[in-house]
Amino acid sequence: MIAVLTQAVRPTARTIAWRPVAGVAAGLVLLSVLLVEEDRAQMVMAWLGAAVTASLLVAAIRDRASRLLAAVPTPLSARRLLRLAIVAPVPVAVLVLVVGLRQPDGPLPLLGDVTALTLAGLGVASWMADERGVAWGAGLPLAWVAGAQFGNSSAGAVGDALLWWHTDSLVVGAIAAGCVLLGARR
Amino acid sequence: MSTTVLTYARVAVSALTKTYGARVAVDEVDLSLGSGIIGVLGPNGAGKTTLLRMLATVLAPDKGTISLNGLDPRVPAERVEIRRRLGFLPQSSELYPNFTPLELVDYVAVLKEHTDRDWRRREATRVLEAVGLADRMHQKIRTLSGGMQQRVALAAALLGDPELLVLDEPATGLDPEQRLELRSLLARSAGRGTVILSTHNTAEVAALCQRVLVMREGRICFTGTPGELRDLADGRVWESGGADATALRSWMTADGTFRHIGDPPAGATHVAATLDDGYLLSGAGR
Repeated sequence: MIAVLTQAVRPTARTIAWRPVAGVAAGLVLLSVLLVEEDRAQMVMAWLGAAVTASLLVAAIRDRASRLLAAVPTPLSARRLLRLAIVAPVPVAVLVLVVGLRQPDGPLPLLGDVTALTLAGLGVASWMADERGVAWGAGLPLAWVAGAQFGNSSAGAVGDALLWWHTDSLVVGAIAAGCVLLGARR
Repeated sequence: MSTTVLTYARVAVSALTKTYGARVAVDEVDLSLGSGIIGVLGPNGAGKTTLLRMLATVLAPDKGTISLNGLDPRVPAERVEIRRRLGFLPQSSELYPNFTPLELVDYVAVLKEHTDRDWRRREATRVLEAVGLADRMHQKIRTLSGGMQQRVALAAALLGDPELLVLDEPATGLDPEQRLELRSLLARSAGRGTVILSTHNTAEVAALCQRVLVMREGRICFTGTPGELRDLADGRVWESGGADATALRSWMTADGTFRHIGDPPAGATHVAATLDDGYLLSGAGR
């Protein structure tokens, strides 16, 4: 399997749509420049950056030739993991450099948020059939963070749940990772 | 890795069922197939694609069992082993437009666990030549016609001479000459194992298949040779100058006469049955 994945790195990198990655990276840099002085904006930047980066990472597992490759012996989960490993360094590095380093607590909490949101999206993608799952999975981080931004004044459990990816990112990440693993074995 | 060596593929299916919500796509299908080319005929929505996707280990059945080469696709390790010996052409597939056919087939070969680069290059070249793309293999896929792209996907399915080849409407988008080439290609592949293909084209079945299955509403309503399918209509086809309300089906032919199938009335002018007639009657009872 290692030999297969090693030889698949270069062609897999060519199958990935890099324009959205470049677009998100450029957008984050631009926003960080525009909003550099505003305290409130730093938090919005962090949340927005986490959501967009997580969404991008989940979307990156979409393979346009997935139907053709549906019956190859290299499992879908391994092919998706490879795509993720190829794509992730660029947007995550940009996020850490332009947003994470400016956060009062440093970049680690932001990385936790991104990880939790990405795993949650991947969990959805691995449990739903075909490419629809990827679309729903990629939408989840954006929807969840938007919910937290605009609906976290809700009282009680709903308000708490909307912030779980941020307040309990470790727990969310662990549960989502379990879902990804179970989904991959289906 | 299993060291089992089989000289030909066998497909055994028992009570196979797949539902999408309330709709039963494949309904308690039983099959036992040996080597050769098997054609699956049926109208749109009959369950052909769902059946083929299950046979290709791409879709898990809700009920029933499948045995491919004696292996059970429900067991992950056996599913991988099946896929090493399987070629699958889906009904429609996007390709990577910025790849050349050679690059795409080489990539599929990597994912089929062929790690010897020289072998891969030779094999990719061989299958692309076999599908008639020798002179296009270095051209970007986005510049190829739909029929050529279909042949690139077919070449990927043929990699490594699989023992079991599952092809969902392989002739879609091919012109008549390419269809003829496809027939020769599949006839050669069938020498090694089992080829299962779905089609709407009875001429294809007549020319190519040793056995034919007809599916309607998720069930297999006929299984036999193309000759046996045609024989279903023996003595049940007649022509007249106008429509016939007693016929199961009637249609006007190019010369203006009406062709009918069903139970002919007394004095009807019988004509020779074709495979199309047999196919149309296959779901209508006898």
